[in-house]
Amino acid sequence: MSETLELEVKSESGISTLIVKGYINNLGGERIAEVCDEHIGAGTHNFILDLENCRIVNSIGISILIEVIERVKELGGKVAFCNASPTIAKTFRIMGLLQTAELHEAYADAQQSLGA
Amino acid sequence: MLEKLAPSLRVTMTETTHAPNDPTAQLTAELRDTQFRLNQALVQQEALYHAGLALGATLQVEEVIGEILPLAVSMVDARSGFLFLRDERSRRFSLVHEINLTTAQQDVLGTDAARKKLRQVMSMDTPLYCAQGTLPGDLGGHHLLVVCVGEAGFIGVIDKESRQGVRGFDEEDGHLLELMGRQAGTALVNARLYRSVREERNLNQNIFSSIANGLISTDAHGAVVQINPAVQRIFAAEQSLIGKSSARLFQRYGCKRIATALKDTLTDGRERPIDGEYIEAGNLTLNARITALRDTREQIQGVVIALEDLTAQTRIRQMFSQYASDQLVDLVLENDTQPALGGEERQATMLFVDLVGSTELLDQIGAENMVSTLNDCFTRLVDIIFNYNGVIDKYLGDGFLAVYGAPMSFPDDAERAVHSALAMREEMERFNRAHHHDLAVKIGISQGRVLAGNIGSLRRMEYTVTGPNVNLASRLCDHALASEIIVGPNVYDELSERFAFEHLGAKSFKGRRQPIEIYQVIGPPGARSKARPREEKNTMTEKSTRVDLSIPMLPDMELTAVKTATAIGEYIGLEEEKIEEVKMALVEACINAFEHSQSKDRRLNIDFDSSGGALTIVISDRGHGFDVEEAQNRVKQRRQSGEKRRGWGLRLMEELMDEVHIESGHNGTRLILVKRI
Repeated sequence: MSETLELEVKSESGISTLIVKGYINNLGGERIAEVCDEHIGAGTHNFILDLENCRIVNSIGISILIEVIERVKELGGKVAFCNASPTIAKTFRIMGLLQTAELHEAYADAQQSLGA
Repeated sequence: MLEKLAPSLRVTMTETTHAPNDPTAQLTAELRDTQFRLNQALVQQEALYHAGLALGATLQVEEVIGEILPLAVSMVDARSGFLFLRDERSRRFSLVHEINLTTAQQDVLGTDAARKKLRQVMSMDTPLYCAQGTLPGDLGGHHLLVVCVGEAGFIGVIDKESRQGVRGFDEEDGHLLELMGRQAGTALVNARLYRSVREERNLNQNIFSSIANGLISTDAHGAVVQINPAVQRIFAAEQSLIGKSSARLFQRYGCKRIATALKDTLTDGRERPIDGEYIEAGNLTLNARITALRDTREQIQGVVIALEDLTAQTRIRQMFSQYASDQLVDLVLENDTQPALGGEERQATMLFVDLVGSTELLDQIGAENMVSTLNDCFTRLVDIIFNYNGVIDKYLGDGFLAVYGAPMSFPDDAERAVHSALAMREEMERFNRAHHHDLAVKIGISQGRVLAGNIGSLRRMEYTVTGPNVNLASRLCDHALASEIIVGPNVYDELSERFAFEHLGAKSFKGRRQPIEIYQVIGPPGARSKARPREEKNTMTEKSTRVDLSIPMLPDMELTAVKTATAIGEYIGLEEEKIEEVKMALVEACINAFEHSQSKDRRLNIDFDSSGGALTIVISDRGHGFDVEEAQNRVKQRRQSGEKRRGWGLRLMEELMDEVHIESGHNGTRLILVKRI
């Protein structure tokens, strides 16, 4: 019953966008963290996570995202989320993720916020 | 009394006339007195001698009892009498014989006051004399003399007859009757002992003859003393075995190991089993067990040789005779394709029966009566199974498993199973009406492929069925309510035209990946449901539903629960956002349980219920449980210390659901999530 997370990555104007499809659990969170680390290593410090095709997350996955956000922040970068469902947004809020990351309704808004 | 003594036994004196002032007159008077006393003693001894002869002439208990009172009445010239004996089982005294008592006098003897008065003789060393006015009612105007009959009871005699009329009994009467009572007591003990020895011998003989296995007993030299009919079947060619050497018998039949073993056991007394001894002449295979017979001083008096015939036919008959009707066993044996006594896969219908209400009944009637009640119940139910050519596979607590289709299949196995179930339900109603009990049966029936065959070894075999379809019948039985008959889809598909069913919807069962459709048997076609309405409803016009789910604690299995929650949420019309919140909370509940429950069975039960205006989800495990307050405090401390990574599950559930309740103990944890519709 494993649902592997699918990631599509676009890089444009110094921003790496991860289009997330699937379930962000511990494995999904680790996968996102790996990709971000790769891009950080390549010099990218701003990330957008598009969650339009992500309908479910769990707290362990979110915890990993929080670590990614903190790492990016230490490097002077930013992380923005877009197209999150109301429930995922609510969950982010409860877990304090939005204290260190941005949440936008649309991708364009996220791009603009990160200075694209 | 003297007239009772034979003239030849009397001490006599010649009549003598004395002159006035004759000094020998006093001596004569003394001599006459002595003569009288001697004759009196002779009379008593004569009477006791004859009583002893009469009482010792028979060893039949009833005849001894019949002799006691007439002897007693005659011995002391009583007008009437009675005999009370203690019942061997209940230990209560009851009047077993009376002579010349009026009805009113018998009624007095039946009163507690009279019995208590008379019964005290059992604890006295002397006879009991009851003068006039001692006893109430119609015995009050009479004289009674009561003595013990050993430990078995007491005799009473009423009113002594003499030439002077009716009078009371004197010391001599008491002494004489007391001696006679002791003789009677001894005679009664002997007769009862003889009876019990005879009964035990008959019982042993019956057991010996009825045992399907062969039994041979020998004397200390190994000569055959006794055999049962099974041995005669095994050694059919032998003329007579009694008195012959058992060792040579077995040697002649090529059973050298048995022959050697019984000689050794006669020597050292050790028990010896012999497996798989083949007799070529009779094409038989035997198991034998040789056991020494010892007397009270532990000296070897002989051996008992128990023989088990392993020939296929005998094995089949022995195997099934207790669990199937004779008719079915005959059919099995007549059939050319006899059941493989190893394993084979075959189609069968399984019927699990469970008795409901036995615990409550036990409290009402007690353990001893409960055993006989249960036996009566099971006898009726098993008879029904046999009548429909089912086989009893095993007894399980307050129920049993019956199988139709193994060892022999019939085209209507499933139909006969359902008929059996309906008949058992009716039989329980009859049983309850007759005995004023409130027992019921609940039954589960499934049909499908099973593994059928012998489980065990040559020494002990048990024909049984096993497999997922057997387990399903058990689960269906567990799911049934009292008086319900629940069947699986295979049974319904075959019999939907033959019986009336009520569709109960889809139900998840342990061991099954998908829920299965289950049905309740109502009765013959056209019958209507009389059963209590079930809590589960599954009609499209009603929005309340209940789903029970069981998932293994494996990665991402929480998504199965999420899919179920989505389906239910959509079905009951829950708003999309609420469904999403439920899904998120459910995910957290599941992964928490996976990580922390330490459940040994590694399974999580998730029950969804949408009645009462809310969707209630109960997530339960059989782990070690936890202290809820302590866990919450730990999370708080972690948060305060800046640790943000873990421990968010409960908080998320509380924020996303309307209610969260946790019940946790050493048997596991129940987490209840509620989202109002």
